[in-house]
Amino acid sequence: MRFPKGQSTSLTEALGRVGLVGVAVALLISGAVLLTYQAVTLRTELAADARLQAEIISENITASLMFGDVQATAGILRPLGNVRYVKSVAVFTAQGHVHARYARAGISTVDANEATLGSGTRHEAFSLSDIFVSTLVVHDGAPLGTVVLVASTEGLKSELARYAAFLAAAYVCALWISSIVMSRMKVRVFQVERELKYFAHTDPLTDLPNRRAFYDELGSRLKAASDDNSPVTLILVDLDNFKTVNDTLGHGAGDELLRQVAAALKRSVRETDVVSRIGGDEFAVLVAGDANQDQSRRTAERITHTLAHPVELEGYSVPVTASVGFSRFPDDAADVASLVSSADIALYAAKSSGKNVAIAFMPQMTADAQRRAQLERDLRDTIARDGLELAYQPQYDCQTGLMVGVEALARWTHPSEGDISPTEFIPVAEGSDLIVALGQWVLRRACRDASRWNAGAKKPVSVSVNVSARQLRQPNFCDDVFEALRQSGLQSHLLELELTESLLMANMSVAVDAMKELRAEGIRLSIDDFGTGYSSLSYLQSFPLSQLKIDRGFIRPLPHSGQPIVTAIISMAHSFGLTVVAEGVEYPAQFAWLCDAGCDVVQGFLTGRPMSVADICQSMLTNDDEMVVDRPGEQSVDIQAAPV
Amino acid sequence: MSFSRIFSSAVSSFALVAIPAYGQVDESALKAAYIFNFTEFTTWPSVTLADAALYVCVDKATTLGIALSKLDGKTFGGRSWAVRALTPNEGVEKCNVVVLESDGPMSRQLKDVTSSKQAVLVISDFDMGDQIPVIRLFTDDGHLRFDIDNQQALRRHLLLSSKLLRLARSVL
Repeated sequence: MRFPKGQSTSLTEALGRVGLVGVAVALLISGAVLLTYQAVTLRTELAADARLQAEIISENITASLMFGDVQATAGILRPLGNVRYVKSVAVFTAQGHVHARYARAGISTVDANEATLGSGTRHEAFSLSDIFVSTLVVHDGAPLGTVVLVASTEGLKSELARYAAFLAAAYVCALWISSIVMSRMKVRVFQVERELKYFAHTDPLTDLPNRRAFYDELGSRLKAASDDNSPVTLILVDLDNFKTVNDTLGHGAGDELLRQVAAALKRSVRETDVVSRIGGDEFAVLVAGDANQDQSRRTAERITHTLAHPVELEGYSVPVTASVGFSRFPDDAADVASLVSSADIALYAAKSSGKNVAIAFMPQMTADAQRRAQLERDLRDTIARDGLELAYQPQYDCQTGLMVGVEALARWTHPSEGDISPTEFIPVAEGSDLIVALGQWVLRRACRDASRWNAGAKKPVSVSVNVSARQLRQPNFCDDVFEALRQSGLQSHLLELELTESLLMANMSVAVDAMKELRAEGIRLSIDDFGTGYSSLSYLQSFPLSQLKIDRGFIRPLPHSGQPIVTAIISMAHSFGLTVVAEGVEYPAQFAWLCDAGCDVVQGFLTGRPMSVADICQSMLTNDDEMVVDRPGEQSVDIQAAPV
Repeated sequence: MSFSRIFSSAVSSFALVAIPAYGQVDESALKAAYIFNFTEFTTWPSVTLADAALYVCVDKATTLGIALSKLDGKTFGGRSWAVRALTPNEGVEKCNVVVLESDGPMSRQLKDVTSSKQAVLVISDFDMGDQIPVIRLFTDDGHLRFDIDNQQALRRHLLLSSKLLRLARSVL
């Protein structure tokens, strides 16, 4: 597991340091505040004590001061030696003369005489200097003198020092406890952080780096590669049939498939290469060691080869293939976005060219992609302007030779590029939601046209319309069909919807519900290109089908080879009560063989090329009276009577 | 340890009142000042003080009497000093303070006062024999001092302040 670099300091560590510093600062501030408060409180208490002491002294020395008895005053003051904070006391007469002084033993003469009449008026609440208080000696309301007492703050200072030491010890203890708590919290937060980081950068299903981690890694690798001019190959891998596996075997099997693919990818590249899952079934591989495009191609093909092995899922051996596109830095792109875009274009090319291949990015692909984007825009406009046309290829009953149906085929004449083949614009539409609008347009137009040509017809001719997978997923698809029938006035049994095998397989549950609803209204349903997909026989029984179309790939080798398959398909379809249409009939020998084999309806260039609605109307006139084709061997085949 | 306890433990049963270098001061004036201060720390029964004056009786002919006369009219505690002459022929009924200065013949009324329980503060500066004053002034080693007979004071219903007692050389 790799994580992007550049995040050496985790959030937890940063928060832990900040938290501890924050606690220490908070404790320091609170300590300073407490000490200040304590100092002010102690000083205030000391000042109050000193004042009380001075007042007691003044009360007791009244007589001695009145009699001028210095010895008596000294005798009264002498016990102050037991009061530790009293530094010195001076008693002044009313005239301001010193009556008596007291000084604590051991202090200097200067300190002993520092009490003066004026010094008692000093008030310094925020100082640690000595406290001076003075009180008047009063007898019967008459002032006899003044007592000035000097209180030493040494005791206060030592008490503050003890308090500070206690605070410091308590704070150290608090910091210690807090650091223990924080370190425990840090461990837990770190675990959570690691999990968050894991989920932020890892795909939990495959344990590979996710899209975000991959892009980060790609950016850093490209930066390093541009510094030392080394090549980097970006390989995008997309599973070809993941959705089918998911839908048929369940999400559990899909997840298991992804896990096995992830393991296979890691096995097929070097340790230093980065494999990541960047989407549902899309993987990216970052290869740093391939010096040239040939090496890159070999790596990509190795991946394709590795993945092209059946995978055991829930007891089934499921064939898995992958389309791979790759691009190289700096040959194909010079930055992350361009490199990813190039690889994506190559992947698209791989998917378009039949899947299970590895394709390198070519500059022409960019032009193709741009052309596809332009075609998509133009097609959208054309549909909005009702600018498409429909051609109808007739289908003939092998037994009667009558035209029994037509298949609607979209035709687009581009204003500047002329006719654009359906094989080009249909895939463009299928690559986006445009196929829904296109399908709706075709359905409505076909219903309208069919209603027109069947008006008054003795032998009505049905119309077949192809339905895409995206259309079928639309929740209001059935309503759209019914609305098209209602608007056109076409009878429901004259509309046939052609569904492909893969479409049914990929939308099993949705398909069954929709098909039952459509069938209940009398709309016919047919399977297109039968035999090219899974050819699961179970749906022939469970799905309410009316018709089965044999793919042209099986018709082409006829009548010289391939007969057993076609015979089997025809026989099987009849067993299920389905009519069989052979498409791509081009030669009389094919036609003759099919008629002999019991095929019900034929469609192809031999019997009729796609034609306009006007031509269909014209054909309807002869259809009511004429036998177009005869049984081979009985009469000559008048296939030219059919409009081409 | 509260100061009051320290103070009370420090108060001895006697104290010497020393008046330093008073030799140059008029002794009588000093005595008069002392006597004035004695009255400051003495409380008489209220019934004995009929009016706002405190009557101090002394032989005005003596130097002490003269010194005391100079304090006549001086007020203390809302009362004024009234110095009255103490003569053999005059009564001493209204005297609140009697100052006896010399050892001489005493009138009968005066003897009655000094030997009675009347609320009179008797102050003398000589040995009165069996006639015991409340306060006895004397000079010792050049210092003016005094003794107090508190029993006499109590007998006469006089209340002497402890502050004054603390300053006396001896208290009986």
